[in-house]
Amino acid sequence: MTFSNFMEIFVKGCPLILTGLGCAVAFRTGFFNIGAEGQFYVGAIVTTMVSLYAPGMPPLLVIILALACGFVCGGLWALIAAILKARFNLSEIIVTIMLNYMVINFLGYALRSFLMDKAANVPQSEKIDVARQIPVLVRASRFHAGILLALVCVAVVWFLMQKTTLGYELKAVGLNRRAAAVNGIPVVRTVIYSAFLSGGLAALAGGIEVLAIQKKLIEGISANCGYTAVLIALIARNKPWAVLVVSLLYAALQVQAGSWQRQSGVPSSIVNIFIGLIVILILAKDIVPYFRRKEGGSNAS
Amino acid sequence: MLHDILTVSFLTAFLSATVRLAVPIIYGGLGELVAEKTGILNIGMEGVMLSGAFFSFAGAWFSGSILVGLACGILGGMAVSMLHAFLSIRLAQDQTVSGLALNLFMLGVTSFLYKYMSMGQSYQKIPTLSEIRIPLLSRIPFIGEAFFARDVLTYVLYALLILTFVFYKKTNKGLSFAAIGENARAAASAGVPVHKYQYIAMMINGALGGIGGAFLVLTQLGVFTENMISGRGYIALAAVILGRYKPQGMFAAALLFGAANALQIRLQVVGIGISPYLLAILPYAITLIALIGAVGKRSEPEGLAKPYLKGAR
Amino acid sequence: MPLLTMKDICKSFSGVYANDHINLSIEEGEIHALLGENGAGKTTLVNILYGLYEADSGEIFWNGEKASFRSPADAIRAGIGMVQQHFSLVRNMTVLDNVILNLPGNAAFLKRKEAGEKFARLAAAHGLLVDPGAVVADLTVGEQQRVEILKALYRNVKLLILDEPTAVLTPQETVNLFQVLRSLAGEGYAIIIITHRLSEIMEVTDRVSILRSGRKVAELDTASTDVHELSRHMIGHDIDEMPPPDIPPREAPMLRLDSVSLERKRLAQPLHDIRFSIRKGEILGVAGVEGNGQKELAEVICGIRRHTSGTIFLEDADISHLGVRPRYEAGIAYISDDRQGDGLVPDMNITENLALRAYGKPPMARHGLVDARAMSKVAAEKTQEYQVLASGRSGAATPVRLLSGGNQQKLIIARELEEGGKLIVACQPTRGLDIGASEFVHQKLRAWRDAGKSVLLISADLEEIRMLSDRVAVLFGGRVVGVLTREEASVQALGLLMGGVTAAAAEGAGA
Repeated sequence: MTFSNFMEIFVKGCPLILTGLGCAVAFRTGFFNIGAEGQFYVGAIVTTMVSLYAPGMPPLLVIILALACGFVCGGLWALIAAILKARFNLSEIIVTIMLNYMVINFLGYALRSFLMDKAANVPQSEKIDVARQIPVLVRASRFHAGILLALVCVAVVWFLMQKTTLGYELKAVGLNRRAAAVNGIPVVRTVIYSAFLSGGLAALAGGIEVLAIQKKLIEGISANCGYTAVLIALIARNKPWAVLVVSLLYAALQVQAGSWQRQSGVPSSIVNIFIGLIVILILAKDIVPYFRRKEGGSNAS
Repeated sequence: MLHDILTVSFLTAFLSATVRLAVPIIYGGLGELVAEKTGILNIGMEGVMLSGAFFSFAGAWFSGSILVGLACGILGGMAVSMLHAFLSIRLAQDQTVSGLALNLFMLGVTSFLYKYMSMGQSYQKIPTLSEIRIPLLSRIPFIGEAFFARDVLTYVLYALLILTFVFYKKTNKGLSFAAIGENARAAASAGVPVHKYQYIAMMINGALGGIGGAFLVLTQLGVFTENMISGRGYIALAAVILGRYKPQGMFAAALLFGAANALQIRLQVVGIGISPYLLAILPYAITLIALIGAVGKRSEPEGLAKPYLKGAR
Repeated sequence: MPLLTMKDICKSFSGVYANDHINLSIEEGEIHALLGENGAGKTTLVNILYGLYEADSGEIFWNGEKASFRSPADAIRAGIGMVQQHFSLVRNMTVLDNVILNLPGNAAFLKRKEAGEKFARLAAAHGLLVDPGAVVADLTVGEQQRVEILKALYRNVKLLILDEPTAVLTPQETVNLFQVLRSLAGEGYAIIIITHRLSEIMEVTDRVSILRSGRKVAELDTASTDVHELSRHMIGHDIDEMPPPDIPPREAPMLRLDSVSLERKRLAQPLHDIRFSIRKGEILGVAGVEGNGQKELAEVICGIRRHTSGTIFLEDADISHLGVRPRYEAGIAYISDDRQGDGLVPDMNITENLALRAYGKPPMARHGLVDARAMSKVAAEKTQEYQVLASGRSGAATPVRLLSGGNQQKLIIARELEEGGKLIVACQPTRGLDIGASEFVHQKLRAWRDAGKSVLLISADLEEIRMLSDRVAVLFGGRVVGVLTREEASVQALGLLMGGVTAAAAEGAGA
């Protein structure tokens, strides 16, 4: 594996880490946010707009502002599903999927109207000013500063889950919502926090992808990472460090599969199959206790 | 502009498109309804339909026969459903997680196989099912064209809807199947073979979902594209909720979604100057709004998504 | 020849014998009691008979022939019906649909009209009146029980098993049920009734088999025994006399409800105009048939549900508008009847569950950061003080779902009985616990009362209520229909109130 290929693992892993963390935070609270894909694009759109239209100020400030705005808007977008869940008990799965398709169509509209680069003949936004892009850190590769931010996020989310009272609340609400409420944990508030954080992290992935990799907004830049993230979070059992590891492994496979595809023509989407299969196998692992249970009978009570 | 819209030809075309676009959702919804009535929530309907679409395409492509394509689509759908059934009935796994994983897994599988199949060649369209006009009925203004100048799969669907309705309302087995989803323990103590019926329901779930996906390929488009179900499986889930777990209600809800889709397509055709991308948001938005509107009237089976283990208390 | 003979039935769960070589035989027309404490193996035995469990060894003879029932369907076909403690009814279906569900004789298309007529005849013949068109969810518990019995009779059973049938009934409904059972026995039906209530056995049965720790310890003719002998066999010693209250309650009220109502749409049981108060150092029992507003009352007091009108005072402070946590901090603790659903997070460990109330405050947390060491320390102290035994080696890191019911309950009590607490709302605190654990709970509640604090004891078990309470309030239909002193609270008086017969009405009827 070449050096640049190695660096590419982190480049490809970065959006997966962030969206995977987003899913993990939500799943932990029992909130099945399948909307990372849509939240990613909300982040990408908002970050692009802020980067393009922010008035003159120090470039670093613009980058921070653009990502922060993306984070907040992605978080708010995820809140729609959280509120509908809390208020009306609507399935967050269906709601977030509908929201995904809405955002993706809206992106198509935006790139053909108010965000369109008039000079280009494909739907894309204008290029973001070089100074306002996230810089590459390692020469001869695409390893960018956003990756460090993703790593920081892993640490922050871990800290939040393990060391704070909010983390305790997320866990209790996720494992038994009813008992959490009976014992005075503010359930709705907890779900709202986790949804906001979840959406924000996915949106951050979108913003970083625009500012560090594409340098402009185009369609399809998520490469379905919002959906892959769901599987990553499931495999990682919602643990932040495991999300990091699984994301990087997945990215490594992806990079490797890319070169297979060039050499032998095996489509790289085989990686998607692989990860799906792992989740199914994880579910099926309980087949062992099942047979044991059958022999021993169930527990007396 | 309004006056362009309110013409006979617009309305006829609109209604016709409504039914055409609703059919896959109704197939998926019917399959989901049968599953959920026995307490199995199949979030993986999207994957079932995708599998049906792909395998029907592949079957029809290699054999040159639509019928073989349909059979492959049904089997493809059933394979996914049976996997979900195994995970959620036998292993009592979390049905949401299993369904989600299967959706994403099937997205990968179908995309991969399609790319593999299509390496180095481009596909022609496969032939699609032809229209069969029902005498007299098809000449009823507006409705006739929409409902009775269709393909055989749509007519089969009408029959299935009536059958399902009668099944749950009038038959001995229907009562047993419905009781499982409400209270599996009660059904079991009345001697209903809970797991066996759940597997049967999931086979039906897979077959119907498979046909739903196959319908898109075999009657509408003649081609397969990656992720071509694009949320219809989830919309089918929404239709079941909206239709309050009754076939007739689900049918009406699916028609509503079909209408939303038809409206956006017809408006594009008429050319009212709104971006097609904005219009494409409409069906999803209407699904959401309808779900919010139906809050409090929902009546899901009490035992939905709760695994039943024999001998456990 | 007996109708049913069970020979040397053995069944063990994870190595512990639930049934250890049990023999049982029943004649036609006989009412046979299975008596025993919780966990004695009664339910396991009938579940084996009914095909829900498979016996490890032993034989069943039905009508003199060897039989094996692999599923309830087999048992039903043979002529065995069971009314389980938790009814096996589909709540969202009609009574008739429940009765005809999966009947072996059903045609492919249901004949509801015919079935309805047969149902009506059957119901009338046995005095079990229920509307066949009613949806089960709308029926009272007593009516649901009638549906269960009719369901069995409709299937032409010869043997009817009833698992704790009176646990959910008022004393008056119990009398009715016993009349029905007597008349069924007169017609030749055999009946097995599972219970731990001695008086009922004396009242209705012909023979009694007594189980203790999975073994059958005696079989007696009811006519030639008495409650003392039964209880000796059941627990190994005589029943204790009721201990008097150690310290009389003080006058000052701890909790006062002033015309509290909970009236919302789609509420299983609303509460209407509840008024009562609990004094310091008092245990107020709340009696009533389950489902008459007990759970709602508990949740309103703890702030889990918000009452719609009226005022709740804790030591003269209005706490009506406080949420769950501020009320806990003000001193209201809660033992829910649903340990695994309400009280604990079964997938979290002992330490985490003990922190469920106070995780956000010192010493467990500071500035929003949890102190894992402090939590562990609290857990170590509490598990020792309350003798919570974790079966595994992992100690306080054991997931709570792996603990026995008794240990789970101890855990909840350890968490809820905080030093700063003033009132504990205890909802069915000993349900499903063995004698040792029950006594532990009673002892803790008494100690709490003796320390000048208050207890609201909600229980369906009249023995428990009468044994512990200083006064008893009775709930019926979401109203407090009477508050009796310890002396007034006879089973008879409580029974009338639980059945909705108020003191005034009873006097009127007497005059």
